[in-house]
Amino acid sequence: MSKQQIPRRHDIGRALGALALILNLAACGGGTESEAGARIAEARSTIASARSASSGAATAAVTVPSTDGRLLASNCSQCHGTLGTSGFGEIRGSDSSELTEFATRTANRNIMAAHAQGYTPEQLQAIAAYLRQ
Amino acid sequence: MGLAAGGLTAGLLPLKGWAGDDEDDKIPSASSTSVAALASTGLSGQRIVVAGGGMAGMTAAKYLRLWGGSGVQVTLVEPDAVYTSSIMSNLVLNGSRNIDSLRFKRDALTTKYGVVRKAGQVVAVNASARTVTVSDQSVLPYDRLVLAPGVSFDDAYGLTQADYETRTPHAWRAGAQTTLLRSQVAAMRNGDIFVMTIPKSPYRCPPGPYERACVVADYLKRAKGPNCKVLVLDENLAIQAERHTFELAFSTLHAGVIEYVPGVSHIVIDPTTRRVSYVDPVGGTQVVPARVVNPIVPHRANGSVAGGWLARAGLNNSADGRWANVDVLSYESTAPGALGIHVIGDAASCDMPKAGHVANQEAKICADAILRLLAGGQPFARPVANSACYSPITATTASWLTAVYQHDATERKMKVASNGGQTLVNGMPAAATESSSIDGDNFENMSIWFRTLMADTSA
Repeated sequence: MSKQQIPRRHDIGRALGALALILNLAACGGGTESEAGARIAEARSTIASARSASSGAATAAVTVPSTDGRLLASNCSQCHGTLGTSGFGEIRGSDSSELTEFATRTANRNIMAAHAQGYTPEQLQAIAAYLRQ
Repeated sequence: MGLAAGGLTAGLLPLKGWAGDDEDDKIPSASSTSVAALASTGLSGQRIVVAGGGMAGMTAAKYLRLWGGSGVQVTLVEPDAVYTSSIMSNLVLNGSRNIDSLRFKRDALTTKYGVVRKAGQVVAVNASARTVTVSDQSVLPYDRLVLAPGVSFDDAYGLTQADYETRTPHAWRAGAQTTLLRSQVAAMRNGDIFVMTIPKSPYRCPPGPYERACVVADYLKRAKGPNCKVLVLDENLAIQAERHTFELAFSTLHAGVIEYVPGVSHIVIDPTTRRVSYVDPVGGTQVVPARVVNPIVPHRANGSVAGGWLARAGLNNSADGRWANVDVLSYESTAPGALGIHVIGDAASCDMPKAGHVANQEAKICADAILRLLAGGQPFARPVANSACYSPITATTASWLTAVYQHDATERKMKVASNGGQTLVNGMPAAATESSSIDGDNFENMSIWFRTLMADTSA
């Protein structure tokens, strides 16, 4: 009786790694693969499959793209919608200079200025880069 | 390689196909025919249980699926199919809104994101076995547990839970008590007194009680006459949020109606006669014959009372045992033995105000951290949270309050930041920003903010 090779989770994870990265970003609404790829290359970390005893599920050795920009941009969803396409206005495809321009406005007269001024310039760039995808 | 074909192709659904964000205010529920595009992450088989379907729990369940992908199983333990928003519920008290307009179905979490809803409540947490027991006796195993149980209200000032439901509502969780309080306010006559109490911080929604005082005072002036009084008995020493706005509102817009008394203690309320006695800031005992009493009573993390499920699991580890202390990078409990248990929303003690829109953001930080941890990584080291809220001051005008919170790595706390993300400005801690005016534009924007927040949370 021949022994069948059972595909193991981390093998499949590696095989799907590259495709998963691009689709992960595509799931958030499209964008150029080269931009995404460049960002992924910077932030990529291949995760070891060793798992702490704390989880019952086997670890998938997945290559996880940086979600930093996405998490920071999720602050915007309360007013601009989960996808950034509703509420007080569409913010997808925004230029980062639109965000930094709020730094010059008076915070207590403009809620978006008050908001933008709570972030560092680097954070605003990361948010804008994510929204441009 | 037929693995998770659905999960992969889900990433290719067009953006427009499921926007679902443009709902109007009338009992919003997302179209049940549209399915969200979930991320493709390669995660598979992880089981996450989310306990509690309020602002924190709904957002966590949604984003765990949206960002985690179809391989991450998310079960939301929540008894009700419909959520009633406490945000905006003060506009039921002045007759501007019907409570129906504050009801949001939870079904989109299932139909759009594939969250499994378990109808029931968590009654026990077994941290070592990594299971929760639900009120229907079922046992759910988890790899990660997110507790978002909200708050419970103390029996206080001589009152009981039955008094809150039938005679002296706190209406600090929207629902039947809101409509009861509305009917009581609507039945007031010129010259009557509305007495409300504010508990010592921390309590949910810091500006909320002052907002309620404004909205009720405005209604009484317009509908009943100039001689009603709104007596605000605050156990705190000063207005807890939007101090500038509310001092202005109390002293100008609502002068002659609102009387604000900070620093009170020893409140005692008779639920039958509605006589309210208290000790004023200079030690004198005062007695007031109220027509309507609205005690916003002290509250604490749900399950944290002695013998409660949260307490039995040792998760109410704040100094006074009323809240759950957490690591603000991941919202994981800091209680010993609580590995893999996260607490978000009002129940958590996390340096930020207890409020629904803050809970929405905590949930996203928590979800992102859990997914990174499940993939063998670490939580994001510099999360940012935000708090943006509008408060009605009359039936047609509103103010707003905004704060952005940065993580201070030295103190391991979230702190208000301004002036380009700085937590110290000219040597002083950064402060939240209050709107410079109370106006109609803010009031209109408030509706957009609320609608969009609820869609981001539940649709």
